[in-house]
Amino acid sequence: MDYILDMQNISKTFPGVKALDGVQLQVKPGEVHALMGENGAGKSTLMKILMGIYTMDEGGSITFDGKPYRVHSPKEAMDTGIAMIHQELNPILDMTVYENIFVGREISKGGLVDKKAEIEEAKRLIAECGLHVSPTETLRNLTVAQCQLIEIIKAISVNARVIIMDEPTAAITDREVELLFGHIRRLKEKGVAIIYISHRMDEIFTICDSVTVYRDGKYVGRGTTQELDEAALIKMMVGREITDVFPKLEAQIGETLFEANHITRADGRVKDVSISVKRGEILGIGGLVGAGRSELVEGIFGMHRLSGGEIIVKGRKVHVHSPSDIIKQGVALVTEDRKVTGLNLSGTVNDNISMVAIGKALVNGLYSRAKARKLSAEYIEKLKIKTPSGDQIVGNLSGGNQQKVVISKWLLNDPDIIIMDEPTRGIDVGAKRDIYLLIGSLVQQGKAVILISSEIPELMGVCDRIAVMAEGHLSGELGREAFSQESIMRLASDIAV
Amino acid sequence: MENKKDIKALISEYFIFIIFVALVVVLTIMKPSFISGRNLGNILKQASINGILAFGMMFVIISGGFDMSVGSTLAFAGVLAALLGKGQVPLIVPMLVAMIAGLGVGILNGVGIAVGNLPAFIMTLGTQTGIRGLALLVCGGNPVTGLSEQYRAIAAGTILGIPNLAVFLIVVIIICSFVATKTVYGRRVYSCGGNVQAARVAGINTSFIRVSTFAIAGLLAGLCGFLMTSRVTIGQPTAGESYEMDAITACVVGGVSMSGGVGKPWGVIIGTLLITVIANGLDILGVSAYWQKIIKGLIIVGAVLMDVKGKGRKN
Repeated sequence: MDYILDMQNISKTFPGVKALDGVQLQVKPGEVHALMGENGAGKSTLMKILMGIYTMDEGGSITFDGKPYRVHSPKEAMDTGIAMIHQELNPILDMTVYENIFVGREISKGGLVDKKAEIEEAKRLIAECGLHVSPTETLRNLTVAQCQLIEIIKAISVNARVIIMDEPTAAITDREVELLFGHIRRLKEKGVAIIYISHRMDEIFTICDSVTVYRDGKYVGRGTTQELDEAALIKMMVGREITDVFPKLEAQIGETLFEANHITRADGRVKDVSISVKRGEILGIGGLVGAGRSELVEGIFGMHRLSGGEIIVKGRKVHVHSPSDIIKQGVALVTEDRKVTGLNLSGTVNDNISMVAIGKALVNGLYSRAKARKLSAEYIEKLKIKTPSGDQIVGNLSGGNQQKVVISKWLLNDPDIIIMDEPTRGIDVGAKRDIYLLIGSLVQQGKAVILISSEIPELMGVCDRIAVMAEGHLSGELGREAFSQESIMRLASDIAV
Repeated sequence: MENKKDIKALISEYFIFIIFVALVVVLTIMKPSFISGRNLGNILKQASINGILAFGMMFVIISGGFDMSVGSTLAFAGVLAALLGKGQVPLIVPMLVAMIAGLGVGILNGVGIAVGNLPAFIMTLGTQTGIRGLALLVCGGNPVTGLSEQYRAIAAGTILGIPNLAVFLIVVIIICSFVATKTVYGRRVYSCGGNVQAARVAGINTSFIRVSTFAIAGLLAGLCGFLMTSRVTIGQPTAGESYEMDAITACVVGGVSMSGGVGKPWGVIIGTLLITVIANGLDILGVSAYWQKIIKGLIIVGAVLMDVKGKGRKN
């Protein structure tokens, strides 16, 4: 069969870095083609070339539908037949569904927007997609998954023949993932090709037909999902064999360090939840997206008002009114969204690492750049943060390395209890493993860790105990001997009557 | 190649500084009297009030805010200082009263924004109008005249040949630069502007930081009111109109990012001097005031544009 998209010998050089070095990608019509590689492998660079955001170096060739393809802007790419659904969705939240669908290519009559025609067309597209929203609804009122489907509708409405999906499942629930996969299968039947970028192995094997792997800007290989297995894929991505995806280090479990009893949030999103964790122990918190896990730890951390419950740290009751109250007691929270609540993206690595424990970077009561640099150098080395220097702006680092910066920021404060909310979301296999090993070494040092994760294998691999939440309450707790996918899923879908 | 890259990075980092030096060289060639000690003293004097306002504005913008009210605050504080500066009261009294009045306006702004969750633009637009009214009210709309000899001498006098106004500016620059770059407080201002939510989660009292930056801007605007009254020898309730714009311009030209979290004190110094040198240079070249405005506008946009382009290439 002919390829709808054939990219050959693509290179892209940035000042000082070769982001892509003679890579290739071939996609057939009607297939879902996974593009894989660790962060920094060059996937997004390639997609940006395809969308006309970057220009490739001389010597490469792109053929689309048998014709040479050269675009200079995302609009041109869409007009030619290639659309992209970004990892960080960028809908215009205060505009309506139909306005979002037609933004940039409004249907007009004599220079005026033909609102009626737009609404009609939007209604048809929405129905075709099996979505139940009104075209005149404001996007702010929609869920992330619905917004994503609107993006897909937008891609369909331009008659895109290749749709790029960058981490489309990063922010949606399992049920919504199923819906999304349904839409992807329907697109396949229509002969639309999909380039699928994801770090989640199970998704790759569920929905994708073939895979192309890059490493450090170079093409490694390709294959079909039938002939490849998980271990082979990881080996291609990382360049070495990882036998043990979830390493667990032995640690001595001691006395209870932290208790949160009967936590109830004033906004009702968490109801009467009690958890505790011991020295040397890793407590997992599982549940579906929206079950109230992040809401629980944010409540404990003083970011939202509690209407009930008590917090006991190292045997002492703590009154928490703001994050600083609980930070002083030796508790740290690595928040879920590093870009929103974790990092000062315009600051340097040094600035960020010294944000919490700024007291350690002082000389005679004054902030010392030299001392901050020295402290952060220690963590850059310890956590293997890949950065040219501590003076690098954090926004320029890859996701996995940004996450390590957030963790360093908290570790510098020497906490005894570390809460991590989805610490491995959107980061690659190698960096994930580094984080598991780090968690292991923390509990070996006699600290306690609370780990929130949506990935059940991750929880089962790393934790000593798992508390499962559903609809804002605690639906059960399992010891390591009782771990199984089924038991966790059953508790996670336990709906209170 | 490494070396070449470093030079490029250095040029883009100090671009505004290079423009400034180039401008000084060009003006000196065209009119050698530009570089005379007397004219340099003049430039410092002209730069002083805008410079002090700009340093207050720097804290506000770096913390992620914006202050439209400093011009009105200056006028209000200036009128109060004039009312107290007529008789034989020691000068420290009108100075302190002016600064406290400015501080009050600043805290009002900060509380409205950080606690009341009003957009900075709206809140300070409100105080800009309201405080201007207050300035007119306390003096019944008439300029306050009859300042004491010693009060008038403040702006006119010099210390070791340096105009007193410039001395005030230099002291403010030293204190503000120190606070911004060396203290824990300064670091936290940058953290707030970079990502206010992350700062809060990191245990920083972000409301306090935001209120305090507006308080600093108000305090310095109050000081400027005191100095301005001495300089024009009357308490003018209509003084300082659009001064907030000049302060913001100095910050932005000096590389302070309007989205917060980014900016260096030396940049603000260069920004202030650049604006003053443009005005002064065109003055002594005999360019008409109308053309001066046009040229100033072009240079502001051009300088920042080239700066942005330079940085864009680096990434």
